[in-house]
Order: sequence, then structure tokens, then C-alpha cells
Amino acid sequence: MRTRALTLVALMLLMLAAAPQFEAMPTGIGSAGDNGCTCHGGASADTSVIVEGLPDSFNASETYPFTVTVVNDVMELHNGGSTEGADPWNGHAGGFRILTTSGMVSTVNESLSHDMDGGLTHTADANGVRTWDFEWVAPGDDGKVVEITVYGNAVNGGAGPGGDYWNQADFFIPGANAGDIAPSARALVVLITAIGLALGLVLLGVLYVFYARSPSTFTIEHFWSYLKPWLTTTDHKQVGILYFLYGFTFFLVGGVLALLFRIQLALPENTFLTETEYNSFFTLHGTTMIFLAAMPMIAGFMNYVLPLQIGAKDLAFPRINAMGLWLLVFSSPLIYAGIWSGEGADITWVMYPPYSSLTESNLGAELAQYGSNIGTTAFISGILMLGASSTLGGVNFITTVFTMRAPGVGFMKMPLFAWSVFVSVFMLYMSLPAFIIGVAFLLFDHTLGTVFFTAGGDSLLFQHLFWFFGHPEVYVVVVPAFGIVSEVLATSARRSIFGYKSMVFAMAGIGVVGFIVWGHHMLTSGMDPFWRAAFMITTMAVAIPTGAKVFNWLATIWGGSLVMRTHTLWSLGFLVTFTLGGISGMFFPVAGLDVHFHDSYFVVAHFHYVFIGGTVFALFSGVYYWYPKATGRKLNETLGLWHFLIGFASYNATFWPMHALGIMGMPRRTHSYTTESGFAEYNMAISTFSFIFGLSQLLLVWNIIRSNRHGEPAGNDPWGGWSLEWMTTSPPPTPSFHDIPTQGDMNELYGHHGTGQKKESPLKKLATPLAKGVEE
Amino acid sequence: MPAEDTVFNVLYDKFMFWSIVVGIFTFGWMFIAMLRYRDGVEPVENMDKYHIEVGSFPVDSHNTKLEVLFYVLPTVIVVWLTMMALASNTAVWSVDENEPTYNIDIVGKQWFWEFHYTEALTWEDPGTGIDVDWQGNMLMVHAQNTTGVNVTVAIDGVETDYQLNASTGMFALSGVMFDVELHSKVTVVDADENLLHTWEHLPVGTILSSAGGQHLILPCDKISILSLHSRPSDASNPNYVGVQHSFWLPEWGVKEDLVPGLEAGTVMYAQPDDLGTFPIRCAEYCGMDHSKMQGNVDIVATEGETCEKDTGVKKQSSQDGEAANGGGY
Repeated sequence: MRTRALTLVALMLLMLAAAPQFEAMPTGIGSAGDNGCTCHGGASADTSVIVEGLPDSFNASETYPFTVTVVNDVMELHNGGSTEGADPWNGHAGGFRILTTSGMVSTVNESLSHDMDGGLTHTADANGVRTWDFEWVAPGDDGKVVEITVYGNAVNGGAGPGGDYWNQADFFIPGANAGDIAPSARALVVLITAIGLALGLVLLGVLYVFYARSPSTFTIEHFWSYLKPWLTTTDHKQVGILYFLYGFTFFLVGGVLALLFRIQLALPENTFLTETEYNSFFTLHGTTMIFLAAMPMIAGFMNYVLPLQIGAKDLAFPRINAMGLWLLVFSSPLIYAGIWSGEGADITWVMYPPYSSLTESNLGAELAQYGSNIGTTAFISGILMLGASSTLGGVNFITTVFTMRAPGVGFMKMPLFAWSVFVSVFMLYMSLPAFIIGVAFLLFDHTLGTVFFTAGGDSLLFQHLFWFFGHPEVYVVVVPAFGIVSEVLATSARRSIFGYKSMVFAMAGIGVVGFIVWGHHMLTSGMDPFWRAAFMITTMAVAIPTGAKVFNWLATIWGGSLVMRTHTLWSLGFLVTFTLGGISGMFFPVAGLDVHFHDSYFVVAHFHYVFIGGTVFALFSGVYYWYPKATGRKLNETLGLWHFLIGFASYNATFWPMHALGIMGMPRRTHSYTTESGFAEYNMAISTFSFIFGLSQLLLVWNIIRSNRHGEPAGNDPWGGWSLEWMTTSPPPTPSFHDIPTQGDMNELYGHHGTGQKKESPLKKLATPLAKGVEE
Repeated sequence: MPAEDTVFNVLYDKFMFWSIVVGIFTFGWMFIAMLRYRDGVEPVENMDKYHIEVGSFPVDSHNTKLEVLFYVLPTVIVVWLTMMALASNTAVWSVDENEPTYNIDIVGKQWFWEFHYTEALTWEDPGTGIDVDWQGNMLMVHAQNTTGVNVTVAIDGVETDYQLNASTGMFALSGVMFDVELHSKVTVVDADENLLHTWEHLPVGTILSSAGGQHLILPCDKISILSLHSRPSDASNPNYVGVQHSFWLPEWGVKEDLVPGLEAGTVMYAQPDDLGTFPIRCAEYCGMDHSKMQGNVDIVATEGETCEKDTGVKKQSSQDGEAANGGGY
């Protein structure tokens, strides 16, 4: 054990020692450096660039003479400096390149330099020496700060760049009226810092609440022992609650990001946000909403409800489950880390290379503007961690469903939510490898300078890998929503779900077809027409099981007796918006329509209809439905009603006009639009309603906090559901069942036409021995 | 909204129609169900026939014929829509061999478009009453009965201003040969400097760039075959091969991605048949100034053409559509 620990420490020290070495190369690892400044050879600290004569601050339009000297006492001249022999010294000793953000730099002797790519570079005449005289004509505006970068190259005089070493010197020269050089606080930095502070305040608030309960006996150890069970828990219910709260927090953070860029888009040619800020905002918004909000919220429901529904004491691997949660929690600081560098990741949630693989280190300082922001590196690392988290979750849930169903819970006797979780994690588990490989290679491209997806590699390959995961991913988040809605509608209509088997087949069908449709995200990528047609057909086919599900839900309500609780309303709202989103989805696979809609606001409208109107509405429904189970108290129905009415109305008012914008020709991910484009009115309306939608979520926050103390007490089964989670107490004990329950089957007692008894379906045969195995 | 005579518009109308049909059916059913089968509105017979009790799987609610129908209904509509959609594939990504075509290379860089002319284009505004005519080494401008006053002749970037003969409204310039290799442009303006008439020759190899505010110029009544390439803005670094863009012409409802490193490039088709100036947008996120990567396309008439023909895709595609559609709806 001790040896192992020592080895680990030694490894870490080695890494720490190595890290600055990598960093010391201004252009990163690899050969890219040669192009960074048109210097050649390697960057080296042995070479020093001495600049004399540049002022501390400048006056407008004044001329400042200065001298650049390159010193390298270590290196040797080629061939010993001798011009004799077969491979002689060519007399070259040094070179320079100077970049300035403002003003004019020139050599005193004009023949020594010429302009190249926006900077000053030496001519062959300047090669013989290592010191040169320059003049810098300061800009006419002395209210700004000028950045001058001087590259000096010590050359050894041989053919080729071998044995040459260069270095750089940077200068920031403020104008006489520029004031102090201070780091500028950017809006995003302020925002995220504020969110971080808010989370800190929440912790303090929890501390205070705990303190206020009994001030006399309070010690920090008490607080720790109160908090510690939450931080170290492996109980599926607590992990589930943490998942949900984490996801919901990021749902609000992502929402705030969206509101900020909706302000930017409210007016044409707006400059509320800079382009870099805007690009980071929508990147973080998309990634947050899918990976840090929707997935964790769903994972929360899966964790909490699934073991209860199948009568298991816990998940199969509780510790792996907790590990999945904390991997997810610690990935979010990585994803947001770039913001404190002033430039958060700006590569969109789809992270298409080559843009995402281009960085300052593999492009060089001059071309850095064409590459992605600094925060991208940490962002991609964070995404990789998310992949690990989801894989662990996938293993866990699949194993749980296979092995831990209580007696009587056959595969075809599982509640539909359990089925939806099973289908969903199966898809996640199957699709993640492609994604993780893609992201890992992207990270290599980004940091190590490999070329999987950039020069010489294939940027389209990443798109395939991403969407092979990305499309199943959208079903991963929407299929559990189907499950929630099936539960809620059947319970609220006080019937069993219509066509249980057909619902299961539909979900499994979506699970299968979902894997062969990814190409419709790439219909305009130069894909072969045959494959365009093939993906069109498979994509259209998704509508068949989805349509069957909608019809089955309608048949469930038909003839029922709907109890209009808040969770019922959200599920009915889901039906409306999801159907609308589904219909607009039918427009995309069509080649002739997709060539216009692709990457337009119509797409934005569509996926907000299926993500919010589908997944999030169902999740809201689930919150109102299972909150009594988790806390023992019901959420307030009046607040819930207002939440639904305001939320549903403003949601539609926000996202419906986006369809029109897309048809008019507004591209997505666009920082601003011109007045002439005619997009202004719709955008103003969208921004206004988006604020109402955002604010309406505070009703839910308040409801969740308040009802935890003051809600109406709920019994074991407040809504009249039948599945096993309603059998146990609210909140359930830990472990969740003292004795494993046995699920009965009313079909055996009252089934009128003996379904399942005349003909044994293969699935039932598969399920029965397993259920017995659990019993033993 | 794309122009009426585009594949997009024709298809959009069809899909919109069927969406509304599906919508009326589904939402009609949905809202009736929601309103009618509320608790306490409709007395429900035999409420307990499902035996919903905690801990027991309730009695199945099912009707095999209905369940099969719920699969068949969407299948029918999906097959129907797919048939219509497949017919459009050929309309978007192929060219009728008999149609006149015009080839041009589009190059996307961060963050502007370059238009590389691989076919010469000579165009002249139709219907202005003015005519520009080269006869041997003589340039003639006929502007009788118009308000034209001044003529500007630009050959290979060298601009010279001339005046029209005030009484005859004519102008003749001798000693200038028309050279197919040179970018030449003749414009006629009135006394208030309003542009009345343009004649322009774009030789093979002309490069126009949206960075300088130049418009893409395409002839009408021909299928424009646009070859798309993504290139780096600065070729000094071999690691930098450009980024993804997407060339979008909203007026014709067509776009295609520009894939860096793909030597063959990608291709798209547009069939403009009306004069005018229309926007170009970049649809694929390409970095900081993505939103500024815009441009304009001028649709012009080749010399001697009037551009009044209606050669838009609608005719052809609606014939196809009607064949598939059994006479339309």
C-alpha cells in the first residue's frame, strides 16, 4: 500500500515537473511552432530578446526609435562558423518578426524588412546580424493600449531550421490618456462568478438554517455530520435527489445564459454582448441544458423511482452510482472553467472540428482569432468526464433491470416508466462509445496536435461519430419522458394504460430505429444522394412508433376520468407540444426542405419543442407526481396551476415564432442581424416572452422549497397509482424495501379474455425464469 | 420565405397541408378527450373494471385491432409523405442535362465569401432603353430618349468618365478593343448620379469577395452549379485548413456545407429566374464573426437576354408533384 502511494506521489511530482516544460513552448507541443511567428527551429529559453527604447507610455503619433538584440550564448554556429568545407556556414545569424496592434513599425534601414501577414518580417539582408534598429510610429489615438510582440530568432547559419532557437518578448504600452492597464471584467466572468457566489450563499444559508434550529448545541462538527450523509451517500433515493437538484440548478443557470443572449437578440445590430461572449453563452447554454440539466434531472428520476418501481432495495451498484453523480458534478467546473480566462468555450454543443481543434497553440498567435477560445480545452475535458459518468450509469441501470426485479415484476409487467428507463439507458450505453472516442480524439487534436479531424484527417468523421451518439441521445432524454407521461396519464385517468404491449414495442422500436437516423443531421454535408434518401426514409419511420404512442395516450384518456392535478396538466401540455414538435420534425428529413431548414431557427424551434415541450414538461409532471413520494408532502396545487398556465403560454409564445424566423432565413448561432433582414419584430417578441417563461420557473422553485415544510401531507399513495413505489411509505425507508414485495397481477384474477395465458409471448418466457430467480 | 418557384416552397406547401390534416385529426381527438373525459363531467361506467390496486399490475386495457390501427395510420401517412419527399431528392441534387447551366466556385473563408468565376459572364441590365455595344475596336453606348448623362468605362480596374452626346444621347469610344481576358464594366448614370444601366464582363478567373462588399453575380434562367470549398484565411500554417461553413441562399431555399480538406468540394444548385439582389448567409457556426459572414447575390440577365422567362423549378417540380399526387389537392 505504501509503495503504491509513493509511486503515485512520484508520478504526480513528475507530471508537475513536466507540465511547465510543455507550457514553456509558446506555440505548444509539436512542429506548429515554426509557423507561429515564421521563426524557425525551436523555441528556447536560451535565446533572449532584448528590446531597448520602447517607451512606458506613448504620445499620439510620436516616433520612437528602438533596438532589438537577440542573444544566445549557448548555441553553436553551423560548421563552427567556418565557410570552408562541403557544408559551409552561410553567414546567417538572426532574424526578427514584430507584430503590433496599432501604429507602424519599420526598420530604420528599409531594405532590412518587409510586411508579411500583418506584421514586420526581416529580409535576407537582415540575416547577417543579431541586432537591428527600428522605429515605431505611435497611433494617433493615445487613449488605447498597444500590444507589441517581438520575436527574435537566433540562427546558426546552416541550411534548414535545425539548431536555430527563437523566443519572444511582449510589451503593453498604454497611451498617455489610456489610464492604467487593468484587466477588464467581462460580463460572463461576472455572471458565472455571481452564480458561484450564489451557490456559496446557498451553502451558507443551509448552514444558517441548521444553526438556527438549535443555536445552543451547534458546532461545525454537527453541521458536518448533517451534511456528510448527503455528500457520501450511496442510497439511490438521496443520489436521485442530488441528481435532480444539481440538474435543476443548471436548468436555471442555462436559462439565465439564454435570457442574456435573448437580450442581445432582442434588437437588430445589438452590441449588448460581444461576439466572443455570445458564442460562449450559446455553447454553454446548449451543453448545460442537455448534459448538465436534462440528463441529470432524468437521472434523478431514474435513480429515485426505478428501484422503487421494480421492488428493488437499491440499484445494483450503489457506489458506482454515487461515483457517476460526482463525476458529473465535477465535470461542470471544467465545462465552465474557461470563463475565468475571459473566453469560455465557443465551439457549440456539437463541437464540430476543425474549428474546435484549432487553438492558439496549434495556430500561432497571429492566427489565434481563427481558432476556438481558450476555455475549449477544459470544456472538452469536462465533456469526456460526462461520458464516463453516463457510461457508469448505463451499466448500473441495465444490470438493475435485468437482475433486481421483484417477484411478479416480469419484463412485460414492469411499469412503463421502468421500461422507458431501460430503453433509454440501453441506447445511452450503446451510443456512448462512438461519442467518447470522438471526443477523446478531438481532445488529442486540440491539445497534442494530432490530426484525426483536421488537416489531413476527416472533419466529417467527427460529425458521424457525434451524431451516432447525438441522435440516440435525444431519444435518451425523451423516452423517459414518455414513461413519466404514461404513468401520469394512466393514473390521472384512473385506468390502466391503453395498449401496454404496443407502448413497450413502440419504445423499443424507437430505441432501435433511433440508431439508424443520425445522417439526417448531416443531409447538407455533401452526403451521397443515396444515403440522403436512406436516412430520409429511416427518419420518417421514427414517426410510426411515436405516432402509435400518441394515439395510445389519447385512447387511454378516452373514456377515462381525468383528475386535473398539476401533474396531469403538465402531461396534457406535453401531449400538445410534443405533437407539434413531432409534426415539425417531419419536415426535416425531406431533402428539399432540409436544405432550407438546416441550421436555421426552424431547427431551434423544433428541438425546443421536443426538448422543453417534450422532456422538460414531462419532468415537471414527474416532479409534481413523485414529490409526495420523496418528501411525504404534496406540492401546492394553486402555485402549480399558475406555474403551468404562465409557463405553458409563455413557452409557446417564445418558441412558436422561431419557426417563422427560420423560414424567413435567420441562421442559428448568429450574434446579430441587420435591420433590413426583417427579423427584428419576431425576435423582440421572443425575447419578451422568454423572460416570462424564465421567471415562471421561480414559482416551481418556491413551491419546492415551501411545500417541503408546509405542503399537505401525502399518504403512501396520494394519486391512486398501482406500481410498487406507492406501496412503501413516503418518504421510503432505507433500504427502500424491508422485505422484497411481490407484485400481483389482476389479469390473472379478472382478465376477461385471458391475455397472456393463451399464447405465451417470447418476451414473457424470457422474463418468467428471471423473476423466479430473484425470488430465490 | 423562399421564392414561390422553388422546390422548397412547393414541398413546404404540401407538407404544411398534410401537417394540418394530421394536426386537425390529432388535436381534435386530443382536445375532445381532454374536455369530455374530465373527472365529474362524464359519468364513467364500470370504473373499477381495471382493478387498480397498489402492488398489482392492473387489468390490461387493450384492443388489438385498434392498437394495430394505431401503427397502420402513421405508417400510411409516413409512406405517403416519403413518396412525396423522395421525388424532391432529384429536384434538389441533380441537373437536367438539357437545361443551360452556369458553373462557379464559391470559397468560404473566416469570415467572408469569395466568388471564383470559372465561366465568363457578360451581362447587361435589360429594359432600361440603353444599350452598350462593342463593335470591333469601338465601344458604342445608345442612350437615346433616356435621362442618361455620363458614362463610366472601367477596364481592368482603370476607370474613365465620359459624357454622352447631349443631343443624340449617343457615345462612341474608339480604340478600345473588347478583351475577353479583362474585367470590363460600363455604367450609365443620370445627372443626379443615379445608376441607370450597367454592362459588365467578368472573365474567367475573376475573384469577387464579400469582404470588400462585392456581390456574387449570377445569370438568371440558368441552373447555377455552385462548387463549394472551404479554405483557410491564411495559408501560412499547414495545420489550418479552414473550418466548416454552410452556404445558404434563403431566396431559393438551398444550402450546402463547405467541408475543409475535401478537395473535390461540395456542390449545390440554384435556379434563379428573377432579377434582384438577395442575401447570402453562413449557416454553419464558423467562429467569432460567424454572424458577419453574409453577402449578397445579384441576379442579372446575360447580354441580350430579358430574364422574363419563368424557368423556376416550380413548373417541373409541380408536374412531378402532380404525378405523385394524383392531381394535387
